[in-house]
Amino acid sequence: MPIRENAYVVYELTKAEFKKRNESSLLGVLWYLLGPLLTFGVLYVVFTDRLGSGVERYSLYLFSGIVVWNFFGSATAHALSAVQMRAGIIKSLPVRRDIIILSVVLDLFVSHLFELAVLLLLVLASGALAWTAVFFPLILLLQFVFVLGVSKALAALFCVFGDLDQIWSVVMKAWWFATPIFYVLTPDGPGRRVSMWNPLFHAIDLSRDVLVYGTVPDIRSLAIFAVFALVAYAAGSRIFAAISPRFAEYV
Amino acid sequence: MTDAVVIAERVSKRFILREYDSLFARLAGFMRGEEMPQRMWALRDVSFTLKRGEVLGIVGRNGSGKTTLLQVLAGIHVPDGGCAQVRGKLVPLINVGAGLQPKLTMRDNIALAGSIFGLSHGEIREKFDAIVDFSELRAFLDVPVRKFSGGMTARLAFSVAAHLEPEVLFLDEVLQAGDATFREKSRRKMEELIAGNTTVILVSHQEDVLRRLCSRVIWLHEGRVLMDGNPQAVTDAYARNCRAQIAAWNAARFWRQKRRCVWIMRQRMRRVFHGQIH
Repeated sequence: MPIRENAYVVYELTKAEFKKRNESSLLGVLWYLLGPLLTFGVLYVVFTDRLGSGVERYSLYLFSGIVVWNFFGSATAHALSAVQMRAGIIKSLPVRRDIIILSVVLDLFVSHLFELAVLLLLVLASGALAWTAVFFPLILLLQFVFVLGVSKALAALFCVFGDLDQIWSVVMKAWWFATPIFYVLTPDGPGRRVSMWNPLFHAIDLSRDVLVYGTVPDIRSLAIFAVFALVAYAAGSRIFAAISPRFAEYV
Repeated sequence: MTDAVVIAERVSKRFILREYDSLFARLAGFMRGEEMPQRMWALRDVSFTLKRGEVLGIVGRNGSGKTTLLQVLAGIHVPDGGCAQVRGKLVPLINVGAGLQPKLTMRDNIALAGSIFGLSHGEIREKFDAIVDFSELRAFLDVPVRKFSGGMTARLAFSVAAHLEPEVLFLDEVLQAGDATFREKSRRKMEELIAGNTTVILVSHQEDVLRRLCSRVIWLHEGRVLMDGNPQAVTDAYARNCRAQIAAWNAARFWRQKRRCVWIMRQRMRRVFHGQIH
């Protein structure tokens, strides 16, 4: 199948996903924004005088962390059950399976862009926007590749392991607290060493650097994140390719 | 054999009936030493070749592998043996309405289905009116498909499929959907497609449809081809088999009832005789 045709299917499927989730109205996006905004409000009220007291621009620090995390969290959660939710399509139409997952991730990516727009507005309003923001698309691209890889693996594995959703929700909860979203790592503590192995730490830290603090991204962090993204994508695609031919039997 | 468009060569498919579907169950089952997974052959060595414009009918009891065969040919299932091949643009209508998105409107569904079957944006816009007119559902264009009745859903699905200009068309019990008028309309459309050299595989329980449209009929039984040939002969044999089955049940029921009658009579007689003697 030529690339152009595939691109059109991806476009139509993504549009369908977006419409389904937002009940065919652009206002539906507001509901999507409400989640991260509420999380932000609660954490801000609770932590601004405690964990955040010594942090420069804590509100932006917190909001950028939540927004970057939210793309990962929501996209993987949706992708996890994507195959089961689309049993009808899987069992009756010869759609390429990877296109289905791609459209789910793309759908949440579009929603993520709305969140990012809010973040950018806030950054602009606080006068913190610097030229370093030009690095952000690269970070975003790496994050997309990472999320797509993890999503493919989860979508495929959930077909074989029916309790993966339970396991994943626990993993996500632990991961959320293990990532410096609402707290700050001490410069030389053990947390920093551990966080080197946390791809989400790199995604969030790099985004903060270029958007909130106007510093050039740390090349080492960028390299590590790039490796994480590529490994996740390669592994995810491998797992997906192994299981996806039998999707119609599992759903 | 150059003009063969559908080729099935000793196609076999094995389904997993039971398996450990979670990590916990896998661990627990491993300790108990259960034999897993349990499998079953859904298709066994099914072979046939269809030329352009041929119409194949498939009959068989529920669970005999009719839908599975279509799914394997459509590439939805991978065969566990043999090979299946379809040349040309395939439009499979399996589980009517399952491919439709219930939350989306009819308009969005037509666009989505069109794109899935490889139509460009322009082509979809071109055919849109013909599809809507054929389905006679113009009044419901902006209604979510979940509010459609079963018959309306089937009408929409068939209308879309028929207008995608398929070279190969699979129909899984689609033609019995809808009211009598729409059924006749869709049969005419089918005849039109067949005349236009579309190759069709038709799964149906309606003998008259099979006889009218098909050039060949296959009878599947427990995943194997039991009979393959002339539509009249195969549908007759299948119908005879079904009637024989029903007759056997009736006979069994008759003997059961007769035995029961005799037993009841004996009981009564015994009671009567006992009364007389004592």
